[in-house]
Amino acid sequence: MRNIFLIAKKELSIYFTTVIGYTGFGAYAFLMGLVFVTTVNKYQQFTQFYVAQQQPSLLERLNFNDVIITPMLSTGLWMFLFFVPFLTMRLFAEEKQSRTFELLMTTPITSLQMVLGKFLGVGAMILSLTAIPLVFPVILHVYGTSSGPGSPVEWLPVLSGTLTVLMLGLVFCAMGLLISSLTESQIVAAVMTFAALLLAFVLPMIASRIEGDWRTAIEYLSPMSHVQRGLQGRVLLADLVYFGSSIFILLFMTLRVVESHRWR
Amino acid sequence: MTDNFDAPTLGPHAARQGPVDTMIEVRGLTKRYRDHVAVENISFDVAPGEIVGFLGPNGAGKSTTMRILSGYMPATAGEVKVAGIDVFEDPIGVKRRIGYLPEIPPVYLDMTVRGYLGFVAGIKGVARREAKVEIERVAGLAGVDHILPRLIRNISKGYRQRVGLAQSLLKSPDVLILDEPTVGLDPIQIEQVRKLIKDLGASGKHTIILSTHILSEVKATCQRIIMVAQGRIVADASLEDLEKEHDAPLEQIFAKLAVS
Repeated sequence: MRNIFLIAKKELSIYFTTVIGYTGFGAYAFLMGLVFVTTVNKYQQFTQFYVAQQQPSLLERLNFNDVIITPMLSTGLWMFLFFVPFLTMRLFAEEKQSRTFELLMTTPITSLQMVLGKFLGVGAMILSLTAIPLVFPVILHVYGTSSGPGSPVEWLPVLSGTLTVLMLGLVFCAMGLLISSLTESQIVAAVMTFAALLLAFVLPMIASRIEGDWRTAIEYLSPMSHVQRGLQGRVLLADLVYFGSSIFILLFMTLRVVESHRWR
Repeated sequence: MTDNFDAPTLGPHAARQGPVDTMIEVRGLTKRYRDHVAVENISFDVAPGEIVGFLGPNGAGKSTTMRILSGYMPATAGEVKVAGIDVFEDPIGVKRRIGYLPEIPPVYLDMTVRGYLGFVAGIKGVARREAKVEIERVAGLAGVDHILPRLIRNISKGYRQRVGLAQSLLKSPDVLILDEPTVGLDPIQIEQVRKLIKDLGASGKHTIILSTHILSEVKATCQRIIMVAQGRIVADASLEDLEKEHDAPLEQIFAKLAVS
């Protein structure tokens, strides 16, 4: 157990000795801020439109969760396409390139501890990243006005949405970790991870072009078809099982790749 | 003068008074990469406290042997035991007892020297409250105690090599495997590292096996020489015995055996 934390701590310390951590957090916060401002603008437009049209019933149904927070989190998912490869590319590739892999392989640490430690390290980064957009509902809570009593923001859907984003991020990290273990080059790892994640994003579009059992299968396999419910505030056990088992399978494959180095 | 080169004591199974208690035991070690044979049927024993020089030209199979001894890669055939533990059956058990310095120092460029040594001390199982003292001890031995707060990216190649050496000394392992420990050092540092290796050997706590292609290095540090060429052992004896046997200085023996 200590070894897992040592590896995780080492990964985190490297993220913050280099510029990776700061540029990652900085760029993510900036881009999410832009997305937030855009969705808030859209909310204003809706309000003005309904007022002009004199449709109080629609105006009443307008709320922060549906018009600002869910679209913001949903758009934010696309950020992972760039930020996850940026974080995961170095995990194993750099060790192999700088020959520190030889150190890890000749000290009393198991492959499992290595894989779990690295996943924990990058997982902590993703956890911190997904926590950043929680600032925006807080801003809405403080400055927004509610039509009824209580907070203008419904917090449970916000938390379930954030949890869903985190789970998707962890699946993507496990994917990036696996790809990083397959190569010695960080660039190759980043490009391949980007390609794999892009495929994950477009799988539902591919599925929509075909019919029958294949469509059902591809839709189930696509991580994107498991995030919609969570973003809207409904955390289903089925979705959590999907995320959990995806992470498990990807980490297991990574473990086999790392172990195979011992038998070459 | 050259007649003696075909003496029966040479070859992979060169006669040697094998000690009863062996720290490293290698039997019939062979490593093949696809159709290239890197190491072929190597056997030798190392007694506790011995300093053995693994001498050979580049590409003779020194690094491959070191990597197998350290448990980094498996052998194609043969048996390796460190302190009586089989490397293939209990690799973690072996790794607890060795300190290994690979050919290229395995350092994280984006860590400080102290952070790096702390990390390695941790995964080697040094208790948290003893870590500080242990790090200062090995840093002092390797001569990097004055650069502990510096980032490894910003220190010279010679210092990186010595940080790698410091790392191998953590937790005072029974066996030290040093792959070309003085490469990249300046003459003064080479002298210091050689003295350190000798002192470590003299303390009797470590069995040391080091590889090199520099003759003066084995002369300066080792009690015993195992000469390898093209993946085979061509000589295994003490320096005096080897010179006596061939009636020639080590340089000539090396030149002769390395090409044969």
